[in-house]
Amino acid sequence: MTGPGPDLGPAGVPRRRTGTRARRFRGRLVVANATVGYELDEVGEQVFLLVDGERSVRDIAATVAAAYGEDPATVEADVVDLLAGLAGECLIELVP
Amino acid sequence: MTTDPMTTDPMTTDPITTDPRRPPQGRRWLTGLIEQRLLPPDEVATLCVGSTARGWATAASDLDVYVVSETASAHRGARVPVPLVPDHVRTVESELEGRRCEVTYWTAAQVDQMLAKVGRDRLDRPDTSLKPLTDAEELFLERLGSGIVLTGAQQVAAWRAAFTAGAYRTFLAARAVAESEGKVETSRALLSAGDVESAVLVARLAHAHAVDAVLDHHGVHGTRTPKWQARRVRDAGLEVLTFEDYWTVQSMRDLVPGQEPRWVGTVLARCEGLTLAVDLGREP
Repeated sequence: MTGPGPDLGPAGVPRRRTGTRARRFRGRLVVANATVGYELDEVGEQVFLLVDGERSVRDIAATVAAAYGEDPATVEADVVDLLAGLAGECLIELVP
Repeated sequence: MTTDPMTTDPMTTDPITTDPRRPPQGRRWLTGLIEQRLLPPDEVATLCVGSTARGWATAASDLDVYVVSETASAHRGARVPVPLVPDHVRTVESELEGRRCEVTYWTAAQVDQMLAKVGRDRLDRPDTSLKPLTDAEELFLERLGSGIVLTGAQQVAAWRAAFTAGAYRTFLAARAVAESEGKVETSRALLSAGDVESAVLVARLAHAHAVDAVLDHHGVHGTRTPKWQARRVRDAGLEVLTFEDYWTVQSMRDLVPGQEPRWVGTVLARCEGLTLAVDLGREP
């Protein structure tokens, strides 16, 4: 397991790693690579689907916060946590 | 022939009329097969399959017929290997009403074996492949569902019930999802490498696979005959896959020269939208 790296902050731009697969299974989004799989909840799914190599973590958090009427700063911290977990499992990475 | 399948079918004395989609030529085709001694004495069922059965045939289309019997056919014809017991099928070319006709001979045991390969119990086995059937087997099972029954309606109904209870559509949808995902990844890599034209072509392929995934998920099969994909999309009439959206991508009519990367991005996003509409753990 590799760490998310020091740059996974609000300004970082995440993208999916090569080999990461997203599948729908019994209503949930499952994100997996050759070694691990994550079942994401509704918010996690929304976050993951916004990971496109163009949006920053802050952009993603703002979009999700707007969708749920939540405080962007609070959501941003949660998004960073989620993405750090996915990065730690080599499912996403930061655009250099 | 010792019996006339037109009058000995267990379901009815006029088995051809049991399929509401039968073309009026069905009886004549069956008579032609009998007259040419193309039906074996232990025949179990005979189906008209392919484009004719689906109502998509043109004047140039072949007439494809599957004959299922208790034992392997003694007919002379091309020997096609299959990973079943018996280990081959025979195909005989003939002519019916001026059309080229290809008759393929299977055994009932082979049908049972093919159905077992895509049984629901196979989904959870670690050694199960995403492609448990060869192309010929996959085509047979697809056509089993769409074919017009000429004889053996009761037996065909039993096979169709086993087919529906099995996991054929899940296997095919999962494979198409995987193929689309692979092509999406390749297209992105080509775009990053500056090979824009290749990225465009691969994105279109990814879309075709994503479309197959949605169609297979809804039980509209036909991956082995890609020329009919537009027909399948139109006939399926799915909200998640409108013909207009499908044809816009496959015909590439919205591809503006000089804006290929943008087109690729839009198509790849659409591919993901389609594949994520396929719930691999739940059939519609």
